[in-house]
Amino acid sequence: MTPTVPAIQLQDVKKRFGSLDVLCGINLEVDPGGVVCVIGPSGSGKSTLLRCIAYLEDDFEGKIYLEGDLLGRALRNGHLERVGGAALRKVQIKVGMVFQNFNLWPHKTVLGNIIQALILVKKMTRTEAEDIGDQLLAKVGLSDKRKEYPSRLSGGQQQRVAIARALAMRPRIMLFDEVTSALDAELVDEVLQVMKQLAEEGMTMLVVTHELGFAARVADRVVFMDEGVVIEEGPSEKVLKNPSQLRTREFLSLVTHEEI
Amino acid sequence: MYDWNFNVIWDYRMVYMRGALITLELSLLAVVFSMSLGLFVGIARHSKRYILSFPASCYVEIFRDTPLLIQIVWIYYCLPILLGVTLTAFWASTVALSLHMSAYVAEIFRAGIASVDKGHVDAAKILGLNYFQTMTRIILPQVFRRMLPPLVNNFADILKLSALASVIGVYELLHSVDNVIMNNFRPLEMYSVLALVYFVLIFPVAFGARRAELYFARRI
Repeated sequence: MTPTVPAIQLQDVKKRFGSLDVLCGINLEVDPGGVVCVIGPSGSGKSTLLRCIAYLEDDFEGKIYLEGDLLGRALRNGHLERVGGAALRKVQIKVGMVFQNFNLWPHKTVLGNIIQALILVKKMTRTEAEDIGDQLLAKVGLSDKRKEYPSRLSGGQQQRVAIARALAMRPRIMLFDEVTSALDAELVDEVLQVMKQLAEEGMTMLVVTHELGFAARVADRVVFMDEGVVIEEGPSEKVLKNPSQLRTREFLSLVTHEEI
Repeated sequence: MYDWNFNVIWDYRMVYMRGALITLELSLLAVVFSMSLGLFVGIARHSKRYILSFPASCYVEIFRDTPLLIQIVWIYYCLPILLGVTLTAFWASTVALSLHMSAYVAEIFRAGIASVDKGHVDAAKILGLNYFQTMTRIILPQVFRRMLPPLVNNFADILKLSALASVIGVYELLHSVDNVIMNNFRPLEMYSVLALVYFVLIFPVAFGARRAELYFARRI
């Protein structure tokens, strides 16, 4: 039996901003089709972790493999060297990302946001791209908003458009960075619903979230991070209900407002 | 009591017309050149790479912190001496005005680019757009809308500053009118109407830009 190649594999990934160590040697694996939630206090390095995997932060140490391919680096004569251009792009394109603040482009319509990269990067015709855009809008339940500008949409709708935009590029891996944190409480569910559907379709997902309920229902595994270190990692049931580390317990009790 | 006499103005209507044409020609050329050059200098000044941002900053400071009048004179009289390049008075003023105003335009672009949410750039990057595509499709379209009011100011400045071309004898509005005043001794009337002509040239652009701004505001 050949061992399956992990969708995401991090080996001793370190990242510092100036004198501040944000990631202090992260090792992490996500199986293909796996859903992993990353939880932890703010400032623990969760978002930076995602940004490194998305290669939005490019000067990290260590190795990041996406489906077995080294991201943004190449081994030459035993040394890790940075690569850019097509070599980087080939690996980076496997990843889609959705952000806390949606980051939709305000001067483009909903459909315009989704098809822009299809036309510019995948060199599709406008008609081809619009077909894909319409399919994705149907999937996230926003077909009637295709000609609207993002500012006319609610936060939940904007975030669903952002998910559709990321999916348009057919990523193999989706990263979600606190995608419901900027939303009003009643809008959270519609976004989580779309994410749950994606998970059921077998998308590999790495989700930074404060929605512990979502983590419990949808994630296979939960990673608890604090101060740039993975403190605890395991099946979501185990980490959320019966954590082995004191810091995990303290954090969980704080966010669920329970006594320790 | 001064005896106002605006009747004489009508006789000089062609002087105003010809002057206005030269002023417009000079100004529009300066608008086009300063927008193009200013865009590149602004992008360079915003760059993290010192090799780009430093020369761009020098350029902006040199042209912004010295008087346009001197720049016009300098380009007209010193370039032939130093480089053997001789420009006509019209082109010397056009070049000087363009170089001068690109320093301002560069600052407007730099500030505009810096004001675009970094998240929009992250989103473009992760979708695979390259630097040029991100700049032309994502950043600049947003910047242009926000830059409209300062750019209109700039346009008004350029039109009025073009009067400085009169010092090297370009027959734009001011110089043409000055010439007439020496004959008819009606400076107050002639200058009053001159101001009105500048207003007529500038106001429609300002008005149109304001309408465009409102149009964009409705969409975003």
